[in-house]
Order: sequence, then C-alpha cells, then structure tokens
Amino acid sequence: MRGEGSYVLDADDRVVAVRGGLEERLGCFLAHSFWEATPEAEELFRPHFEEARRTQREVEFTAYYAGTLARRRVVPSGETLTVYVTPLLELDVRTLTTLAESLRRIEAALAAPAPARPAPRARASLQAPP
Amino acid sequence: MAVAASHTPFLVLDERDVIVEVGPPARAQFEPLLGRCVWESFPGSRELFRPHYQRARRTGRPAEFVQFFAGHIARVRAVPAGGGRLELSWETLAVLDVLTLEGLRSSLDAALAILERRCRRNSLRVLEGSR
Repeated sequence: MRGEGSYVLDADDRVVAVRGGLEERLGCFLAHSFWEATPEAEELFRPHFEEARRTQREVEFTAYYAGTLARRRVVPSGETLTVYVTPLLELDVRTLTTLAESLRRIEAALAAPAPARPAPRARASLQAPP
Repeated sequence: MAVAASHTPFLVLDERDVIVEVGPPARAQFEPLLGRCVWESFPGSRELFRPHYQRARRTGRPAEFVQFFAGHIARVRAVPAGGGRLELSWETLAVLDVLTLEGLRSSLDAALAILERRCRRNSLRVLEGSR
C-alpha cells in the first residue's frame, strides 16, 4: 500500500508542498491546481476543505479515491490547508475475485460508523512529543 | 516473427511460458519482462490464462477468449507456433475506471456485461456445435 503523506494547498488550492508517500503522485503538480492533479476528486474533497477553512478547525474524513481508501485530516492555517493522508485499504484489480473482495472491504469500511473523536485535551497529549 | 497487424500488441512465449519476443506496440509494458516467466511477472494470472494456452498447445489450434485481469478486459488470441511456442495477441475491450466508487461501479457493470455477452456467445457456439 502506498505510504502516508501530506500536502499543502494555498488559498487557491494550488499544491505548494508535498511530503512522504505522496511525492511520487503529486510532486510534479507543485504550483498547479490540486484539482488538475486529481480528476473527479473535487466533489469528494472540496466540501471538507471548505469546512476546514470556514471553521478554522481540523476536519477528518475517510474517502475512496483512485484505488485507495484513505483517512484525510485537513488542518487549516488561515486559507492554507495541510492535508495528512493515511491509506487504509487498496482496491485490488488483479482478478474479478480480488476486485470483489477488496471492494467489499472498502464499502464495509465506508459504511462503518466513524470512530468518536478524542477530546481536544486528549488529542493534545497524544500529539505531545515523547 | 509477426503474428498480427503491426498495430496489434503481441508477444511470444516459449514452451515454459517464458516471454521470448515482444511486438512493438507491447514493448513499453513487456520488453522489461523478456526472459521472464509470464506467470511470475503477473501474479494471479496463471489460473485464468494457462488453461487456454494449454488447450491451444494440446489441440494445435488457436484459442480465443475474453478475460478480465489487472483492471482490463481483453480479447486474447493464443496461436500455437511450433515447438511449444505460443504467439499471443490481444485487444483491450474495456478498462475499469477506478478514480471514484461511482465510476468504478459503473465501469464494472459495463465490464461484467461484456463478459456475460461473451459467455453467452460461447455457450451458443457450443450448443450449435453439438447439433
């Protein structure tokens, strides 16, 4: 599975930084619109990005895109967004059997209720350096 | 050795299913695999393709079939070329759209319809052949 990574978008949703496992996929789109780099992703992601900018609070969501189910944590800083991506499941298109199995797993994960978010203090302590 | 029109991708397997020749349209994908066993290069493909290749070798006649693999549906033609060699050519009929779940479901439906039509056609051929 492709590794974790993050990217930073400016106020116009241009890619201004890419880190970790997303460098190969998004690195060549630096300074370009994120939506050019990710066809058909806009209607999946934009509402969450807008919510993060509007509320100035972190937004977390799980979505399938381009063969991978991933959890995305969107951290706003003014109009700039840092999006942390954690891949959870991959679609396996090798055979119809592997495709059906992996699609079933992805759909089940999407249907499962989202885990409760920890209280802000707990999050802060989890994020504290060792 | 050419098996089809120059725009048709093709490759040649030896009697051990090692890729020994690759046609120009297939070079980008298959040239790095020259000298390697096709089943090791494409894990999971053996049980889907090998029975058709064995049939072609056993009967000495071309075998044509439609198969799903790696997100593609292709019509594959395996032609015995002597000495256990097989010339394979193929035409892609459909490619799964994996970008979104909606696109995936819709392209999967279309892909399954192609496979079903093909199976029905083959069944009809068998029935007509038995008359």
